[in-house]
Amino acid sequence: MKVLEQLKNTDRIFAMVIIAVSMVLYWYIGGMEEPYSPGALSASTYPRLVLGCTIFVSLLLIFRPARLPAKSDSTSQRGVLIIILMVAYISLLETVGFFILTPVVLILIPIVAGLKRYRLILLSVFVVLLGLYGVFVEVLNIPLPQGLLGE
Amino acid sequence: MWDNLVLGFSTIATLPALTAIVSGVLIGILCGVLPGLSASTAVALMVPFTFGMDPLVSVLLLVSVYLAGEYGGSITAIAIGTPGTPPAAATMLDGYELTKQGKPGLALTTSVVASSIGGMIGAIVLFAFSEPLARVALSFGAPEYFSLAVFGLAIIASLASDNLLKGFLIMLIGLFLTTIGLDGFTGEERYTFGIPKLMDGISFIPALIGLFAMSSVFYDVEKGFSTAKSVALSFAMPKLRELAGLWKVYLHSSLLGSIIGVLPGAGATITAFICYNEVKRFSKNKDKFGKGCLEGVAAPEAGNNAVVGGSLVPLLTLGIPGSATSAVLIGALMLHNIQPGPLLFQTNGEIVYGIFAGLFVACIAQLILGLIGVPLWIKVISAPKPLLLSVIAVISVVGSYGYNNSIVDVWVMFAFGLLGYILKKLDFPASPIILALVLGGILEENFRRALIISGGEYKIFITQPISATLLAMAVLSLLSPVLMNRLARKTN
Repeated sequence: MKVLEQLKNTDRIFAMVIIAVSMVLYWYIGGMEEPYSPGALSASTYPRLVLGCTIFVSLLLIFRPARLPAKSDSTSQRGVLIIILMVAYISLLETVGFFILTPVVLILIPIVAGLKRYRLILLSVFVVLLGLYGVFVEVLNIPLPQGLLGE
Repeated sequence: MWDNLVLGFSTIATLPALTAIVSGVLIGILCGVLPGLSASTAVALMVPFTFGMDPLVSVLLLVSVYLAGEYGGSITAIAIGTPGTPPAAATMLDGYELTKQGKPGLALTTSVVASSIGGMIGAIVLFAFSEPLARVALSFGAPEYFSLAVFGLAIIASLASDNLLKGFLIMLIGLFLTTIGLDGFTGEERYTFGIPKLMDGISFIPALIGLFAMSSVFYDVEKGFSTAKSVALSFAMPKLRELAGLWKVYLHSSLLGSIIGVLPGAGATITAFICYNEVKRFSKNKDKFGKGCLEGVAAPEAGNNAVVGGSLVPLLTLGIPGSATSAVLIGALMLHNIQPGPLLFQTNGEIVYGIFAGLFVACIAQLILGLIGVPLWIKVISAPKPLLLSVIAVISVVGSYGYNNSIVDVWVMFAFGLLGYILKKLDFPASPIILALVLGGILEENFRRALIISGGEYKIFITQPISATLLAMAVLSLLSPVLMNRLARKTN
């Protein structure tokens, strides 16, 4: 029971995930060509050395005596929402276009974060878009994704 | 030496360079003032704005943001008792006490004067030590560079967290990430998963933007926001005699800050607290510390700004970052095809000496803008944070996209943002991963090169005196937290 309690510690869960991922990556790299010159390492040796050390340190983290409970915050709805919003924004960026999607994001993020001053939000959208267009498109000549506007 | 200084000042005596310095100081103070935006985040966010700039102008902008970002945090710490940046937590101890006593002007002026003097002394240290160190570094071979990278990583892992294992684990994850892409020795693909864009490895700048900026958006949106307390704007200014009377504190803390800044990984937060404690230890007014003592404001501020110059010493001379923020600067230099290291003094002397001179001018700009801009900075504190977070999110996306005009880089930024957010939530330090991303390549390349030179003999790392010394220092730095803990427990 004591072991189970200790395993609940977030540090240990994190370490176990890292061990699992490291083992998969250790196996995934497979065999690389053997080097010709004496002393030279194959391309897989160094990553495997790092992964080996990672597994070792993760094991130490799992089996060390628990002194203090690890600090961990619970993820709120806001956190999940903002991550989903960013995934959608990046996924659609090239298809829909920067100048169509960005105002939506600039409006939604403050609202998700709890700001209810809608006039201020709209004003900021206008100022930020104008600023980004001026700096990135006009000054730095960075072509931003046009999406639907480019067709 | 003086010729080089003249070269530096003449290089930056152009309108774009001076504009970059003043803008950098303004942006740095603004970012520092806003709680949750550290100097590192500010510098990472500004990198995309330098894409089309002249290399020197872009570096001057970023160095000025770095310097002023470290100072800006003290304004919030003094005015509302919330540190704008982590190092300002030390300034808050006495600074906010002075505000509660109705003397915010005294604390704010002391803070900007101490910060600017600290920055200038840091710049002098940078100027005095960089060239000799670069000359020594010219004799470094593969074993020395390998051991130097190990030393840097060992210090970072041991200082970044109260838990050595956590720091070490995160550093190893960072080292692994640098192995993604084509192997520099054999040309074979490693962990590219068939994605052609990953053949060049993980894009460093998008990764940094994700770790610093995007992660703070995720974290801060989740926390929600509260409106900052209102601050009284009328306050008395200190007398010149009072400020001048602190000269010993300025000097002591600035020198200490510069030296700590040279050590890889120490950073401004640790420096601010060390300077506070050291000045308190030697002060005649020990009892007044924590109750509104000017020395308690001047010490951490002089120290954390002196770190900037100090942390640029290993960056410019060895190509090794002295702090997480200087890791971002390395990325920015590489973006402009400038390879930091001992050869930089020969190949791009005007940039190196331009940085020295620029740091000096930035300190003067910081002093002026800090003194006249206080009412404005205090108004910035009450700006709604959610608006700022949406701007950071969009700049992170557009900046990562603009790096290579590739959506893959935006996903890299997002992935690192998510990683940084998870690390923050689990109380794991993020700085080891950032420095490992910079040092990982140096570590592997020199490790393998040294083995080829020695024909596979691992003892090459301990038979070379400099390499052996650096490795011994690395072991010592890893053991020191354990030994210090044991010593503390015995003493108690």
